[in-house]
Amino acid sequence: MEFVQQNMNEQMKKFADMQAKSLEPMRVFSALVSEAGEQMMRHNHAVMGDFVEFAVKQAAVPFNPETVSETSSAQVADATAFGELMGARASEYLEMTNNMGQKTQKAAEELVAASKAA
Amino acid sequence: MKDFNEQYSAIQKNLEPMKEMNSVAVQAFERIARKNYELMGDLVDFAVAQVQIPQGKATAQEVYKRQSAEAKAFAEKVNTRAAEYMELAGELGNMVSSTVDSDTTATPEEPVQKAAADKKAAKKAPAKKSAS
Repeated sequence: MEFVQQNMNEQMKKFADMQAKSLEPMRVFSALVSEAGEQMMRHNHAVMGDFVEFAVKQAAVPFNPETVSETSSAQVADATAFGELMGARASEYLEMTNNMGQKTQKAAEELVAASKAA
Repeated sequence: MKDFNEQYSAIQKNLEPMKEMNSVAVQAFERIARKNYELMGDLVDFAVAQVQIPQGKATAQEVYKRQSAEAKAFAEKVNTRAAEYMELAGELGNMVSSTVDSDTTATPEEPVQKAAADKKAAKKAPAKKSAS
């Protein structure tokens, strides 16, 4: 009985090892996904920060005005600056996506080359 | 006829007592917004940490342990944040009550009296007819 149990244990261990070995090449992709997720989340957080800054500025503007034109021009200037900032953020997102695409492609090519060599 | 800027400044003058309350509201909005942003940052950090834990060559048990430790640390952080929110709410409440107090003590009946006096003066001295 002890022999059977030992045998079972060994088989389970072998099975786990084989599974880990077969999934090893996929680890790169998992790391890539994790990296992309982190970058995206941090970037989203930064954009939320921009929104907070903009909202706070807009809320504060009407309470320190000398004249209407100054108030409206300050609001328009803030909105314009915010629009430009969002444009810059959009291009950052695009750049990030391109980088991740290139990295994924490179990883896939390396994986294919490694599997061909094996 | 008054131009728009003059009308606007007159409106502002009339709304002067509300100005302080508005600035308190703006301040409260700013502080709450920034606090929310900090909390969102904590959430992002926690999520990133949770995702990255299984990346190393750790066993399932180690992963579970580290994830539990992270979750515990996060819960403590959130508790601290909750205390900060409470503190902020207290501060903002104090700000509001002090502003209300200063408004009520500093609001004399001057505007009403002045308006009545102006009305009387206007009755006494009617406007001169312009020579056409």
